[in-house]
Amino acid sequence: MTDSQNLRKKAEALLNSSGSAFTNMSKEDIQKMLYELQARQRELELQNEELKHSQHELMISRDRFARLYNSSPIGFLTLDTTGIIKRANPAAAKLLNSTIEGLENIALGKLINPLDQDEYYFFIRKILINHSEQALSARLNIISNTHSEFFCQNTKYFNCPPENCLHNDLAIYVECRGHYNIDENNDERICLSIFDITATKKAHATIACLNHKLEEKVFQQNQDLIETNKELVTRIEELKLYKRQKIEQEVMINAIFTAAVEGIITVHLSGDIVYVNNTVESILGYSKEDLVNCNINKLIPLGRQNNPTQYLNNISGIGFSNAIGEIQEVTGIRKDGSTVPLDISIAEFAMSGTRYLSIIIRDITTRKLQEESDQKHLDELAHVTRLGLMGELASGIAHEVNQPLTAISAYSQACLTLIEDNNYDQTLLAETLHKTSVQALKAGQIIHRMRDFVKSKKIHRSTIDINALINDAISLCESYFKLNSITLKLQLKHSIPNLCIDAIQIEQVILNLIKNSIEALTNLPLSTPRNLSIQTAVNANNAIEIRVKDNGPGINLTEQNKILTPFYTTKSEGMGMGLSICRSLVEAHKGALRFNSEPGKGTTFYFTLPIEQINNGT
Amino acid sequence: MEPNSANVFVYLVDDEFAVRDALALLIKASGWSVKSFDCAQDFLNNYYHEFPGCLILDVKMPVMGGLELQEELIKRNINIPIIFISGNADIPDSAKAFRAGAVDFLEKPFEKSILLERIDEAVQKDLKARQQLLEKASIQDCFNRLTTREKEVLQLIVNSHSNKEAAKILDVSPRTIDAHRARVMEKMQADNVAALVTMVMSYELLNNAFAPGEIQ
Repeated sequence: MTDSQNLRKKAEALLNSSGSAFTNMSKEDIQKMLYELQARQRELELQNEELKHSQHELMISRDRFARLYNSSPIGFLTLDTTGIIKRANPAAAKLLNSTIEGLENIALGKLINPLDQDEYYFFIRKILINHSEQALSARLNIISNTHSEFFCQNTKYFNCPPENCLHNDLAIYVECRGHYNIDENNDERICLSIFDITATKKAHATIACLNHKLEEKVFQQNQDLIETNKELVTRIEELKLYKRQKIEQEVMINAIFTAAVEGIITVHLSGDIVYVNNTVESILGYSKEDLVNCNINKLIPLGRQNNPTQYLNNISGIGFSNAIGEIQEVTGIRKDGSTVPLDISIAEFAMSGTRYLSIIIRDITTRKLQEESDQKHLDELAHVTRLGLMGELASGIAHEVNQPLTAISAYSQACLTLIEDNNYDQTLLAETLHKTSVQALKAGQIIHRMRDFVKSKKIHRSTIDINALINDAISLCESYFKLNSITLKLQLKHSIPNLCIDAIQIEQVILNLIKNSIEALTNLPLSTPRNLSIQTAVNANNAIEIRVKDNGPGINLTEQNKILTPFYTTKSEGMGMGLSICRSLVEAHKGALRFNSEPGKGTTFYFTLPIEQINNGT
Repeated sequence: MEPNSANVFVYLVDDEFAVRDALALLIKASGWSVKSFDCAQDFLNNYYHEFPGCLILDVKMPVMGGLELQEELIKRNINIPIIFISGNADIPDSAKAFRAGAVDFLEKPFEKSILLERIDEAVQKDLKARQQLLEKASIQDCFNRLTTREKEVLQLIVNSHSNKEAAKILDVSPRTIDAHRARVMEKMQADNVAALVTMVMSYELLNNAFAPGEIQ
């Protein structure tokens, strides 16, 4: 350009020097200048050509740009510094729901939703101050009618409240990008590109929403998993505890097995021993090694017991039911051949499909001795109380004996008086002497009965008619009935079976009950009739029941609980042993002593004695 | 009194047959008439007051014992002397029997001689009592014939007042008292004042009806 300018200046200067110069110039110079001008012309022509070409290109470019501007889906707006729209393209007009002409000279701010006005203001300011490119996302002040029919597909799956869902927001969201510019007229302008991001936004919102739901769901499932996990952990703990308990239980059971005072033997149904505990060794004197695989019959020869078939059957597995759960007494054989009394109980169990018997044996030698000693004590005690009872009855018995003695004395003195007369009546004398001897025998019998009652110290069971026994007892206290105006009523069952009992001890019980009734009856005023009745009967349990019933004042309720206990007495002189001994004696005979008493009406004591097979005792 | 004198009865009550039979035999052999009973009620039903006698009574008997029978007899004003017999005598029983006038309390068995002695004693007692009763009845009869004034004078005499004192108390002249006194002696068939006083005291004729302070 400098060249061409220089050239131009040179030419103009020449021109200004008005032709004279040309004249002054040499031909050569003119020639040369012409030549230069011709070259210059050509150059210019070329430049013109170039310019034409360039203009053409520019026109093409402008058309292309204009097409682009008009048909772009993105809205373009040109604003002045106050925000007034100066130019808009069709996309912008469509977006802003207006026409290009309608938009011109309108403030863009009016089209922006009031909620986003502040953002918009800062956006414009930043562009004008910084001259930098800025972006804004804002809602328009117009309502979309294109989106109104859109609805969230996800409401089918989630129960979200519709007012919170963006899809029900009818606002149009736009994004604006703007930069500062100075246009061809040197005016300050803001160029804005504006495009609808509602769909994108809603899509984002949907994604966010779904994300949120997903998170919720994941959280929920996570919680569930944690819960399940916890449960599983607890289950595992429980199982561990259970296992530990099982182990402890096993340890405990082992300890029990080892420490048990009872011998515990496990056998096959065949009778072969599988296991024994230590106590079995000490009871029977065998070592464990001796015992295992040995047959139970060698130790406890069940076959030789009282009921042989039953036990054999038990061991071979037939008809257990009789023995299982019941404790029975058997005799065991020690290694040295001596015998030992045992309590035995049997239980059946199955392990891995094989049936076993668990046999528990207990050495009852001590108990047997204790029982014998208890029995001996009871007998002695019975004897002592019998002496006491006889002491209490003694005055009555003395009276009873005194009557025949008085008669004897009177009869014999009458005889003496009779024979003083020489003509005495021999028949009368003989008769009187006979009566005398009858009375002497009667006195003797009472004395005998009393002595028998007192002397017998050893228990001696014999076959006894209970009614006869009752009559014997009554004879010892007959005088009491008379002296105390007691009416005795006997209701003894005829042809009652005989009993195998200790007659003296049972007579003691009967006497004691009679004596108690007499004492109760003497507490009644004399005007009241005093009745005592003694009954015998056979009850439903094949036992004989003996009842001693009086219509005395009865026993009050607080005393009723105590009267059968030792050392309890209502009498000033009593020891309180009578009834408790009676009960022990009856129980030693496998019977039971009971009473009913109604204060003011009377008392009935009754006891039972089982009727045993007499041929059973050998 | 001879044992076998007519119309004297020894009653025997004992519930024990052998004792009753033996004693009856013994007493009969000794010459007494015996009526024996096995219970108190039977005796009460068959006792005739007209005949003198005594009662041999067992203490312990069913329904009505000897001591109760004794009470019942006193209640009925039957004064038959009682000899108690007992198999097991106790002190309270015997004391009670004696207080109520028993002749004796014998413990079984007893000697024939003692029994017969007591029977004799008891029968005598009964006879004597019966005689006294008759005497009392006749004196009472005499007493009943006295006038009220004469009874007053009798009271004063028994209380050992002189005629003068008596006249002053009754506010009459001593001569009048003399006259009353003579009539009293006559009606009561008394030989002297001492006999009269004895009569009044022993049969308790004046009793409470004429207590000294109440005269006038």
